Amino acid sequence: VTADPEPAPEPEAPRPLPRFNTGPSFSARLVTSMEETSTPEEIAAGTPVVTSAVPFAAGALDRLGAYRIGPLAAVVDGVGGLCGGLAVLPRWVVTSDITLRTMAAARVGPLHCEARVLRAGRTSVVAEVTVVDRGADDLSVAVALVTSAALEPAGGPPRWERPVVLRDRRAHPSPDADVPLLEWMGARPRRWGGVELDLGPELLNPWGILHGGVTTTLVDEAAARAVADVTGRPAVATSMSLGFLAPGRKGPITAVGRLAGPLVEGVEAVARVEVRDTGADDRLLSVALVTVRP
Amino acid sequence: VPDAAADPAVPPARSPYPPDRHVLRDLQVTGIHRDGRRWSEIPVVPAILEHDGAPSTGVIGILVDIAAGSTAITAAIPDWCATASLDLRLQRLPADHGRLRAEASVLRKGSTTVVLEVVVTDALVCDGQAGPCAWSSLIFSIMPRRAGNLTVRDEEGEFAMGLAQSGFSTTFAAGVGLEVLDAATGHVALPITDEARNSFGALQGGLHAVVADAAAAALGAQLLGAPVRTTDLAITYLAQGKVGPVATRAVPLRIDAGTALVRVEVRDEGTGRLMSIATATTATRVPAPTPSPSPEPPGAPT
Repeated sequence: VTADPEPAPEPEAPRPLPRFNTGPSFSARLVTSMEETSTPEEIAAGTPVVTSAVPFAAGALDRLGAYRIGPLAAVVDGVGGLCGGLAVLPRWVVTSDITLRTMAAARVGPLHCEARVLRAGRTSVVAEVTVVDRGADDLSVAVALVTSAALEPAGGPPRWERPVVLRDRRAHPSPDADVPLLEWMGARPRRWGGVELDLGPELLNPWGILHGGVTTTLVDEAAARAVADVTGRPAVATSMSLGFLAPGRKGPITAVGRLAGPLVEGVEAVARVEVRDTGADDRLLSVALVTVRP
Repeated sequence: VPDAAADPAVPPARSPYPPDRHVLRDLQVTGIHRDGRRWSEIPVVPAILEHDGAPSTGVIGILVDIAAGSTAITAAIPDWCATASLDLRLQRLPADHGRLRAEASVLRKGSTTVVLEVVVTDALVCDGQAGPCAWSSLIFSIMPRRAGNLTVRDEEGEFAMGLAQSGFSTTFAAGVGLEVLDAATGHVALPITDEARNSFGALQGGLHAVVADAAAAALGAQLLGAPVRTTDLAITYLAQGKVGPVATRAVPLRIDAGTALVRVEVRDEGTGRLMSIATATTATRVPAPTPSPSPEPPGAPT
């Protein structure tokens, strides 16, 4: 067990959001729109509903053509976070943890996500996100719970016109959409297991810290490698429970997975993954428990 | 453990919580804070064993929650806290003898939450025959201390909750009044008695795990046509349940060979409020204890 001896600071209070998907950002590779579909009654009641369209970018698929859980968690983080944030306005949110379970492989696309608020409290908000594969007769693909901390942004909350509609007006898919996401991120294998990457501006979220979706994508890869390194065969992560502990600011960022228990033929394994900012005294950024199918 | 960590040489005055008849006393939970480490233990007794002869996943959930809770509450002093989420992953079947130990570590303490990790070990770990039997991660929400919250002392010591009359005369499930009413819908019922409340007067957090485990296992067995064990359980706590009875409803999310992924809603029927949502994997086959397969690579940096 690794404990952070120095309590990590609270994530910085967010600043107003920049325009949606205007640069070569991580989010822009995955999501083309996020749209509030709440009724006026739901807006008034503080129980917003947000949906998101997710094109089937080849770079986010595994070797069998299924959408990987890491980028899926990234999408879920975005849509669940927006939904949670709208529920606690004029405060805003940062994600504190995600629990994601896949129900079936998404192989056709596009994907459709829908987020609903289950509870909005004084300090936190919980949103449930469901994901279906539109191209496979709305096959249920995943369900997730996204818990976010509600904060008082120093510069005030993002200024939204309700209902919120965010659309990326650029052509999709982007010319390099087929480049594997990990390669585009600049992730590379570590000598002693796991993966690492340098922290470029395209990997930051609107608050200027490591994008949560980059974290989930690294965790997915590190967990799969932890199993594959033992079996010698590719492995697929099928569920993920991840806590965000501290913001990543410097890099390189590492994600290292270890098997948490015995590996038994025909039984899914569990990997425990740590994400650290090696440029910031090896600060522990995230811990995840990931179920992996060998 | 509230009021638990006192000088072991001086018996502490009996805390108002838990009352003499309480599930934590019947499980004979012992909280230990020694050499800077914190853990909780229970003896493995026949009453807590499942069909496969190992302690139930729900009871492990109680142990994990109390171990993490007592650590989180101490970390949150002078404030108080409550469980916000619990994720429990079983690695293998725990031993059917000896003691189960849950050791908690704080990963992060912020102004609104405490994030912890818990490692569960058993007699086989003590004997060097296996690695940990479960891992858990939990988040506790920090709340301002209110009148009525228990006094907590951050001191080393050992606090045994079991009393002379504590224990289960039948099974754990019967002892807490847990009933499976309809396996096909994952309908499980549990009364909220004083024996099942936390110090807020609401259903103890670990008992959410117990009912979610029971509901998932009931539906999982129905779906797979064989007895199952809940191998992982992720609970998000939404509201306190103070009236009862608690009722669950479960639906299948995914069915594979030998496993069923299930979503469980836990509701307070007395108020209609949704208390928690859980997802759980149930399996007909669970790894038996074997030596840990994940050694550090030779020469790896520590």
